[in-house]
Amino acid sequence: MANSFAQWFVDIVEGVTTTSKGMLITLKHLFREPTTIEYPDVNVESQLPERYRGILQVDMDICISCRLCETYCPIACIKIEDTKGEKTTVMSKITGKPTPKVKYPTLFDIDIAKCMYCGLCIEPCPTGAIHHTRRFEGTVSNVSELTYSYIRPSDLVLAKEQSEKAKSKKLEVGA
Amino acid sequence: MSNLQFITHSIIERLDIPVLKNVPIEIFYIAVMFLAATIVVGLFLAPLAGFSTYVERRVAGRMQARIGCNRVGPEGLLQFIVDGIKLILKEDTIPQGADRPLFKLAPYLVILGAFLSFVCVPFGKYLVVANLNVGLLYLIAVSSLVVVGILLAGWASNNKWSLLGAMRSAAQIVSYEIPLALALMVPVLLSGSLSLQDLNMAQSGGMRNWILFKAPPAAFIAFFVYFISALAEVNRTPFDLPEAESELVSGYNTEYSGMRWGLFYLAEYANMFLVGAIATTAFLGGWQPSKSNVLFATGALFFTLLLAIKGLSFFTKLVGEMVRGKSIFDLLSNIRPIKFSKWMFLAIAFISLAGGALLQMFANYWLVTLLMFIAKVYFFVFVIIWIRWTLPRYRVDQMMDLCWKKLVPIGFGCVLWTSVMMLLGGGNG
Repeated sequence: MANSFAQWFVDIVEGVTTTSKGMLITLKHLFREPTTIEYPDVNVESQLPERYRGILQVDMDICISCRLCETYCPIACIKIEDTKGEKTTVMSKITGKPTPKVKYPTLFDIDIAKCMYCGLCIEPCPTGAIHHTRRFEGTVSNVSELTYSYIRPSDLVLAKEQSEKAKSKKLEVGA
Repeated sequence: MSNLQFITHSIIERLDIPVLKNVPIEIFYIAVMFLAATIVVGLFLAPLAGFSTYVERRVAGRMQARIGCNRVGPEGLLQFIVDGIKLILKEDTIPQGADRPLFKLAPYLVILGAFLSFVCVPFGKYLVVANLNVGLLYLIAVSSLVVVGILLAGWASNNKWSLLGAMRSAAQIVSYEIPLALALMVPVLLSGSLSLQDLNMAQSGGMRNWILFKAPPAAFIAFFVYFISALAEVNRTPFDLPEAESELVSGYNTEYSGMRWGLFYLAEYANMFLVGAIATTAFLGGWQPSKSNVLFATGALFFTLLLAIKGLSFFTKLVGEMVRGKSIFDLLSNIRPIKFSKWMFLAIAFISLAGGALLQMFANYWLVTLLMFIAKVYFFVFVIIWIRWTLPRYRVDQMMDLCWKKLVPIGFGCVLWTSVMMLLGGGNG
């Protein structure tokens, strides 16, 4: 009996001390700076880390249309078409050396809606043409708008020129 | 003839419309009573409860390293009005198997229990609707009406979660009424009156006359006993077993939607305010001005000034943009009031300190007494919120154990100790 009476007091003391401990912790948290950001008001993109895997971007000037990204993509959301042309060189961002280019892309589409931002297309790229940006806002009113096309009109012109040059060379060789 | 009846009479005589004279005057009494009640509930109690919801959301946010609602109005102050409008516009669904009349009646009983209690709460020196001589008894009796409402809500919903929640709530509230009443016996013994204004009068003349420090340590312990049982009475965490979302979905209000649910919500926050009001009146000197009130006045002024400056900057911007022809709905959540720097905070704090000292000179003025009261009550509202975001929920058996094995004996001990002290000290405690 005496023991349980002592226990009664111990219980109360324990209850009071543990409660006050917890209350102190939450009080400390009350005066902490909030860690959340007021998103649309604040430019979040600039606060993201350097290697953030956002929406893909392709530098068409140095793309050699090797199709490595297309092959490596686990969900096949990259689609490339190209024509053969004259052999030129582009500067690789990875090695810093000139890299031969014989194929000229006429279509370079990435379905961003399917892309899972794994970064596997970036690893094999020999020139560093394809890379992540820090952009993460992809809201559109139609899903088909999420299929990004990286081909510029100038690329098409270049591809046409190069293919015609190659054809005429072939004809010359054939003749 | 009461004041209301007198006003009604004079208005009707002034109007001098022959048709109205054939209508029995009692109908006008009732109409005016309804009007007065609507004004009191709509313009006074709903904002008080609504402001508590705002405080809850902001404090909860900061305790979880979030910001909390700050989009609608200056610092999100208009959020509760928007919430209310949303709830009124929502569909009011009633489940198929429900007992329709009882289902509809239940929230009114809950809100009635909450708001009837406000009748005898002394907000300031002259600010009390009815200074009942059985004030505390009336408060305890009327707040029990909530049990009836909750039980009805649970039963009428025809839902097992609702019924379980309601039964838990009934068991809890009925149990905790005992330590609550016992704890309130201590101030009653010490002041010799059940009237809340008399309780205030007994504590005039500074902090040392507060009942909290009388008959040491009985009143001090009784205060905590009261506070804990009051938390259980209003179903707040850690005693929110009736709406334990992990077990009972949402308890007795599972099936409610729209404004009927809103009434439960409003009643909860009105009750929270009431807990603070009774704790303040019974133990902490109520609205009584005293020397230590400089602190309270400074605090109250500080927040008032902060909000006033924020509000002013918000509304000037709002009006400015509206003049330029933008829609108010676009603007409400997009306009940001000015941000305070550390120096501005310091300056406002200094001004509040000076203002608090100035207010001290007019400490008997009723507005000051109101300010003191509101400041103290909102401190308790803050503590209740603070507890909610700290402590986890009790188990049913733990809850009952705490009530019957801990609080009831302690409450009895406090009453006994107070009586002994009063006998020894010649009735002064």
